[in-house]
Amino acid sequence: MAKTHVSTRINGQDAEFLCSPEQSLLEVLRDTLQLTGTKEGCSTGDCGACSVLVDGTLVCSCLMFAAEAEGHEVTTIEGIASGSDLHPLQQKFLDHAALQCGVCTPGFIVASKALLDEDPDPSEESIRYWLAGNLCRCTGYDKVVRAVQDAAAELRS
Amino acid sequence: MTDAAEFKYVGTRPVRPDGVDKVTGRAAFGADFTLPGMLHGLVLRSPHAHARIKSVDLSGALEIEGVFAAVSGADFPEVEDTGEMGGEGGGSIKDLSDNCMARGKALYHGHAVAAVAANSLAKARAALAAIKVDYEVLAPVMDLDAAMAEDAPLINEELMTQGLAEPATKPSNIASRMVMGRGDVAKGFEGADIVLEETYYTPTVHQGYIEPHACLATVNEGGQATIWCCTQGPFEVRSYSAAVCGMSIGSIRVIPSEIGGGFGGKTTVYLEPVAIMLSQKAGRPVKMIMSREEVFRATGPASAARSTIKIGAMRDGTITAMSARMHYEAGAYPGGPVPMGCMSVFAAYNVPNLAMEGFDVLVNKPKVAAYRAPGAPQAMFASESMIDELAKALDIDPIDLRLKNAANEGDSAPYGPTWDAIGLKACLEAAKAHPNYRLALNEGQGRGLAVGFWFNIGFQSSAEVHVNEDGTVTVIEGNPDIGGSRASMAIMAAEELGIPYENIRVQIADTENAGYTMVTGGSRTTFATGMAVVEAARDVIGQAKARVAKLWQVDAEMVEWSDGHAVPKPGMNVDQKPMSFAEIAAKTAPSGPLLGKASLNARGAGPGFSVNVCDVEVDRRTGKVDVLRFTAIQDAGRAIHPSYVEGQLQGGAVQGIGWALNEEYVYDADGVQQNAGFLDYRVPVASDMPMIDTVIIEVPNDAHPYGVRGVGETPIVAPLAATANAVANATDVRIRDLPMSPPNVLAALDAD
Amino acid sequence: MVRVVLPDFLQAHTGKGRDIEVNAGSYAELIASFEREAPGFEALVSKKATTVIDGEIVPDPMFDDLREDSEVCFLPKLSAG
Ligand code: FES
Ligand code: FES
Repeated sequence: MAKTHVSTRINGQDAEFLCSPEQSLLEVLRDTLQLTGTKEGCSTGDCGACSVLVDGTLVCSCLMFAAEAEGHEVTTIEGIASGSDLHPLQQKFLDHAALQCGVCTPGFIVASKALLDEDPDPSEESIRYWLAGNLCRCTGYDKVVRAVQDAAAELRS
Repeated sequence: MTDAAEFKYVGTRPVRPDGVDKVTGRAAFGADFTLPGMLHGLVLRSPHAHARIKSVDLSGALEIEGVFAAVSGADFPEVEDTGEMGGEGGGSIKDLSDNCMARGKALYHGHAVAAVAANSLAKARAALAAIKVDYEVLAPVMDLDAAMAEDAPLINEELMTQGLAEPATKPSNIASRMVMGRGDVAKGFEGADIVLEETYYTPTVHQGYIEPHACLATVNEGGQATIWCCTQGPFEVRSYSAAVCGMSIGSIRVIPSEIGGGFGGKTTVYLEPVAIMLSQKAGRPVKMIMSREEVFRATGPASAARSTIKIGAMRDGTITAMSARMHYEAGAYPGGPVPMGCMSVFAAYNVPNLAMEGFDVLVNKPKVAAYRAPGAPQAMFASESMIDELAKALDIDPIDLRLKNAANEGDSAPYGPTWDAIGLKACLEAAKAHPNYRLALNEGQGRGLAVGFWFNIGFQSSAEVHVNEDGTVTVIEGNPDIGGSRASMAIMAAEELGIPYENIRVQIADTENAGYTMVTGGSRTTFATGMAVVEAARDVIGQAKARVAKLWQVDAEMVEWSDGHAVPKPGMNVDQKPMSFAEIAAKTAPSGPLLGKASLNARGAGPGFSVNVCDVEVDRRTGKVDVLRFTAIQDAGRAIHPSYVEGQLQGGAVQGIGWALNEEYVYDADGVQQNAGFLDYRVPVASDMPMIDTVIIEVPNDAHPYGVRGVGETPIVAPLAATANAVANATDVRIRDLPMSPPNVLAALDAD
Repeated sequence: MVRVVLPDFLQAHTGKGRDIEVNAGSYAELIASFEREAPGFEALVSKKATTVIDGEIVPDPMFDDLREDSEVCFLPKLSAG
C-alpha cells in the first residue's frame, strides 16, 4: 500500500516520515523514528505508557494515527529535558524514588507535564484523577503523586 | 553486625544510578532493541480452551512472500521429563516446553500452537491467518469443582494424583496432595471453648506488569544464539531455552534489558525459545512482542484458591488448634504454589495443634506463574479473615488476639524450623501504637487488620568490583534491576569501600559477563546479591591493602582500611600518608587491575512479617468500597535504601488491594477470558488509592552483613484480609469470596 | 541427637513420622544414614526439598557439621516470585 508522507515537528525539530495509513503514532515514533522512550503497555488506550503531547494536549499515541500528526507539534519523553537540564518533574521523580521498574515513568512524566502546564497548583485529588489514565503496577502511586506535588511547588517558586 | 548509627551510606536515600536514563526515555526495555534484517515473530494461539490438535499445516504461511519461517510443536525437540525444575517455577521442563508450544493438545484458550517470522508485522499476521489447524474440541474444566468432579474431562489423561494416603488408581485432574501439621487437631478442637469453620475463595488474577513480554533473538550459522529480553532471570532464560530448544547452555547468551515489572511473572519463558527456533530457521534475527491481550491469555496468572479454615480457641483467646484444607488451581500443568500455601497459612501463630492439607488442581487456564509470595496471599487471606472472625466472636481486639498467639523467637514454625529473631510482635506493637489505628471512624466506615508472612530466599549470586584507574568503581552483577536494586548495591559497596556513592556505577551484566546469579525474585536480590557485592568489595579491599603493605614494606596486617583509604595501623611506626583507591590504582598499576570477586550460595535468608491496617468506606447503595487510609508495617531486617523499601510496601499494598477489591479473570462457558485487557481487568489506578503510610521495622537478620531480610514479596500478603476485615467491620457483613467488587458487595449486603 | 522434621513425601519414603531424632555429626552423615535405611532418600531431597538447618535455609548443606542439639528440617521445595 502506498505510504503517506507526513511533515510534523517532534521535540522542537522539523520531522518527516513515511507511514502506512493504519500505523499508529506510537508505532512510528518507536519503530520508524527510534524514539523508544515512549512505551507500549496495551495499545488500547488503557495504560498511558504511550503518553505524548500533541500541540500541548495529552494524547495516547497508540490511539492516534501517525498520519494525523501532519502539521502538528509532538512532544515525547525525549523532549522533556532541556539540553542537559532535567525538567523539575524528572528531577522530582528521581528524588522521591517515584519509579521502581520505570516502564510507566515516561508516560507519567509526560502526563504530569500536561497537568502542570494547565494547572500549576493541582490538589492531590486532581493529580490522582488526572493520572488515572496512567497505570503503574509497582509504586502504588504514593511517591508518584508526591513527586508531582513537589515538582509543581518548585515550578511555582 | 554493625549498628545502624555507624553507617554512612546504608539507610540513606540517594538517586538511583540508573535513574536519569529512566526519566528521560533512554533506558532500553524488552521491546526497544532492533537488529539489521530483523524479522517480526508472531504466535498463533488456540481459539479453544481444551482441544486435541489433530494436525497443523504451516504450508500456507510459508508460501507468503516475506515469510521466512514457521514452526509448530513438531519442530521442537521432545524434552525428557526430568521432574522439578530448578530455580523459581514449579513444574517440569517438559511442561514448560509444552507450554511454550503445544504438542498434541491445546490446554487453554491462548495456548501457543504455531509461530511465524516475517519481514513485516502485516505479513506475519497474514501468515498466521494462513496456518491451518485441525482441532477436536474438548470440554474445558474451568474451576476447582468442575476439575474435581467425578466425571470431569481429563486435562492430562495420564495424571495420577501424587501424595494420596492410598496410591491413586485412576487418572484425575488433581496433580498432588500435600499434608503437613503437628500435634493432634481433633483433641485441640475438642478442648476449645469455641470452634469456627469457614471457606474462603480468591479468584485468578494476573501479575499485571505494565511491560508485555518481549525478546529479540538471533542465531548464527554456527548455532550460537543471543537473546535480548525482559526477564527477572537471564540465567534461567538461558537454561530453560537451552532445554526447550535442545541446545547447550554455553551456546546461548542472554542479555537482560531493563525490565518493566515482573512480580514473579517474568521468572519463566514463553517467547524466547520460540524466537530462537524461528531465528534458526529463518537465518535472521527475530523480534517478538506480546500484545496485552496475549499477556492476559497466555502468561501469569496467579492461582485461584479455595481454603477451608477451622479454628478452635479458649475464651481468653488462646488458640488450641487450626486446620486448613486448601485447593489451588495450577492452570494447565502441575505446579501451583501449594507447598508455600501450606507452610505460610498459619506461620504467624504459635499453636500446638495444626493440620494443613493442600491440593494442586489442573484447570484449562494458563500455567500459573509465581506472583509475589506465591501461594501466601491466598492462604493468609483465609487464615487472617478467620482470625478476625474469631476476634469478633470472642470480642477481643484483633491486635491483642494476634499478640496473644503470635510466633516468637524460639517457637517452632508450623513447617518445622525454630524461629530465629523475627519481627512479628514488633510489627503488631507498631500497629497498635500507630496514630492511624486510633483515628475515629464515621458511619459506614470500617477498619481491618491482617498479618503477612513470607520466607524470603537466598541462593546463588555473583558480583565483581572493579577499581578504575581514577579510583571510581564499577560493580558488576547479574540481577535485573526491577525496583531500584542498583542503588542498594551501590550503597552497600560505598559503605564497604568508604568511597562516595556517586563514584560507584552498577552494571547488570549479561550471562557471559556476570557470574551465575539466580533470578531477581524471592526477595533475594538485596540479600543474596548484596552479600556477593559486599564480599567482592571486601576482596578488593584485601588486595588493595596487600599492595600498600608491599609499597610500605610492612606486613599486610599493618595496613587498615578506613574511609576509602589504606591507612597505617594505629601505633604502627611508619610515616605514611593514607592512600586512596586512585593512588593505589595508579601506584600499583604494574601489578594489574584491582578486581574483587565473589560467588556464593547465600544461606540464612530471614523470614519477613508484616502487619497492614486498612480503613474503608462502603457505599451501601452501589457496593463500592473506598480505601480511606492504609498503613503498611513490615520488618525489613535493614532498609538499605528506605525509599525503595517503602516503595515495595506501597506497591505490594496496592496490588493486594486490587486483588481484594477488583481483579479477577472472567470466563465464558467455553473457557474464553472475557476481560483480557486493562479496561475490563481493572487494576488500581491513582484515583482509587490514598497515600500508603509505611513503617519499616528493623529486626536485623544476622546472616546478612547489614541485616537485610528481603522485602519484595511480603507486602502483597496482608492487604487481602486487611481489606476484607475492614469491609466486615464497616458493614457487619463478612465477605469470604474475593473480589469485593461493587456487584459482589451489593449482593452480599442484600443477602444479609 | 539431631532433631529432624520430615515433610509428608519423606515420611512416606522412610515410613517414619514427622519428628524424629537421628544420631549424626554432620549433614553428610545424616543423609547417609537415611540413604542406608531408605535408598533414594538423597535423590528425593535434592529434587523435592529445601533444607533448613538451625533455622537457616541452607542451599549447600553437604559440608555442614551438626551439633548435638541441631535441628534439620526438610521443607517441600520453596519457589518464589
Ligand atoms: S499503550 Fe497506549 S495507552 Fe497503553
Ligand atoms: S514503576 Fe513499574 S509500572 Fe510504574
